Amino acid sequence: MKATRVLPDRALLPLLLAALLVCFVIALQQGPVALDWRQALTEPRASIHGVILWQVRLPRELLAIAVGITLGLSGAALQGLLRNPLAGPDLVGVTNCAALGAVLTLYFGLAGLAWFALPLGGMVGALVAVLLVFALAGKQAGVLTLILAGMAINAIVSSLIALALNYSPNPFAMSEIVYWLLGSIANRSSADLLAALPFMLAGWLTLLSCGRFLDALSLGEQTAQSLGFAGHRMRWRAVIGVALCVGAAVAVSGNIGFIGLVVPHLLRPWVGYEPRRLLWSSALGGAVLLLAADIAVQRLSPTNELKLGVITALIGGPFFLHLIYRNRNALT
Amino acid sequence: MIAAFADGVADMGLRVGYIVVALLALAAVDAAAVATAAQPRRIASLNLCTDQLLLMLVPRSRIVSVTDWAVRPESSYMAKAARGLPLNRGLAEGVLPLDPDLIIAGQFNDAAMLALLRRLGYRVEVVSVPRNLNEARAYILHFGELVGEPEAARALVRDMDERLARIARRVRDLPAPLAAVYAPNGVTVGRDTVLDDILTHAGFRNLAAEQGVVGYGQFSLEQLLAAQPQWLVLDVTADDAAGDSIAHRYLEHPALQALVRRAQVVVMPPRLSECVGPMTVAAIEMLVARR
Repeated sequence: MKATRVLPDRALLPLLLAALLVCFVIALQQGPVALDWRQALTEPRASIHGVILWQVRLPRELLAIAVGITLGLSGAALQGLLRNPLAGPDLVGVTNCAALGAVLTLYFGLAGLAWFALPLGGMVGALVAVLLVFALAGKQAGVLTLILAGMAINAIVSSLIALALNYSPNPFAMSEIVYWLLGSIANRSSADLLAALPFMLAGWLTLLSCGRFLDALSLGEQTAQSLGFAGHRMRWRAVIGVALCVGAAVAVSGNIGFIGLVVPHLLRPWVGYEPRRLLWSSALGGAVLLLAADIAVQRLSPTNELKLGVITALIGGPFFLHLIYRNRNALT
Repeated sequence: MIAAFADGVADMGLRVGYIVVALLALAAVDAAAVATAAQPRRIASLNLCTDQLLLMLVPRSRIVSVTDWAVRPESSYMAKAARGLPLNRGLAEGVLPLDPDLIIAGQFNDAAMLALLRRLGYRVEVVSVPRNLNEARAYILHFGELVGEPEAARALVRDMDERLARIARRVRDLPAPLAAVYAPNGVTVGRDTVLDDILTHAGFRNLAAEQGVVGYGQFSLEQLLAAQPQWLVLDVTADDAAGDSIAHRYLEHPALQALVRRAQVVVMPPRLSECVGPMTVAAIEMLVARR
């Protein structure tokens, strides 16, 4: 393995923040209309350019950041908790289950009942999946067992999504399976962002509070216990954290794959393999990667946008293969 | 004793059955006497658009089946007239037990199924469902020949043309505002479509047609906002009963709502826009009435 210089947080986090800012500004420039920035900034409500910037592009890119933080952070947390380098919210089936929960809520008339109904549907789905994963992992499952179980869960759940959409009375439902399985933030509005953000925030804080436990856990279950961590309680906290943020994020963006796998791996050498530090940097890294993917979909197909999951899988799929190849001795 | 009683009832039922059959046979002879030899008497339709034209041209007694779409008030202009008829789902199984002597299908019905029906000896006529008003006249007249009602078809076209002429006189001297059709998922409608016909006959300029869109196209929210149409025709394609979808939520986007507040908005119900014919004229009249 190549040696990478470990960067202290005070250097790494500002670097990631700067990258985030650059991507954010570039992302706001994307779109079929050439934006008149002066008009957009001086007349945010009265001018068409103002409406385009503040009501079309800004909610979309803010959502990209929030979903990116969620996926990067939950990927880092799951890899630490399961002590499995191939874990990610999508690979173990959490995002698909969240999508199923959101699908059942949206297409069968429940989403209109309350502003939080749609994210709630996603969170319930995500919770079921994380519990399933932890039940499996608790029985001393190997790296491979968990991934194979995730594959089975994903196969079952994506079929259930198709089944649910098939029974929906809405004529558009069946074609929207692409959105749920590949994810997109095109035309998401401030309403979507505001409905999901409180739950994502709560999930982030919960996961970030698990940092020291993850550090201890990296030394082994016994060590963590002897350092005074109540392993059982901390695990529950992490389960809730993942369910909250991933469920809410998927409910408004569909299933965007591989970010939770790729980002922690890329950043791990830079933080000296410290799980707690990895949480913070993966959160920012996830946001950068999702913004970059969103810029890519808008540039590649401006009118009829590609789904975000197409881009992230094109990056993440080969990366996954590379990880399997590198870990092949540990896997068998 | 109970058995004997049951036998008696069954016997009575049988006798009543004979009487009903005899009456039905009489009725059938009667109907045959009215209909000329060229007129099919048991017509089935496998397409929403042919359903509706059939209901406009042919007396109900000669229709054996229409599709289940034909009775839905949101998608069918002739929903009331279709009520009570045996319904099919556009599939062969639905119509075979009804022993039709003419099966009418549109060009988009399953070709393999139609070939099967022909092999089984049924008369299947595939009509080319029109995409715009120009094609509609020839289609209605041809349809009239097929179902043995050429005079009714001619009268229907005449009536449409008279109403269109009246509308044309009314909008001739009005200004032509810019209008855009917007449907779930950001779909818009350009040239060579019935919605373009509806807009232009009602005296509007169609934004998508002017921007070179032919048929159905996509307009991003930003493009629509930047073009600033004065009228917005929302083609909702399904009513509230169909429930929610990402496509329909799109129409609730705050930026689109900002445009909705500035522009005049007309909701075009699918029963007026899905098929072409007298419902098209009704759609134009609705738009003109709103001006």
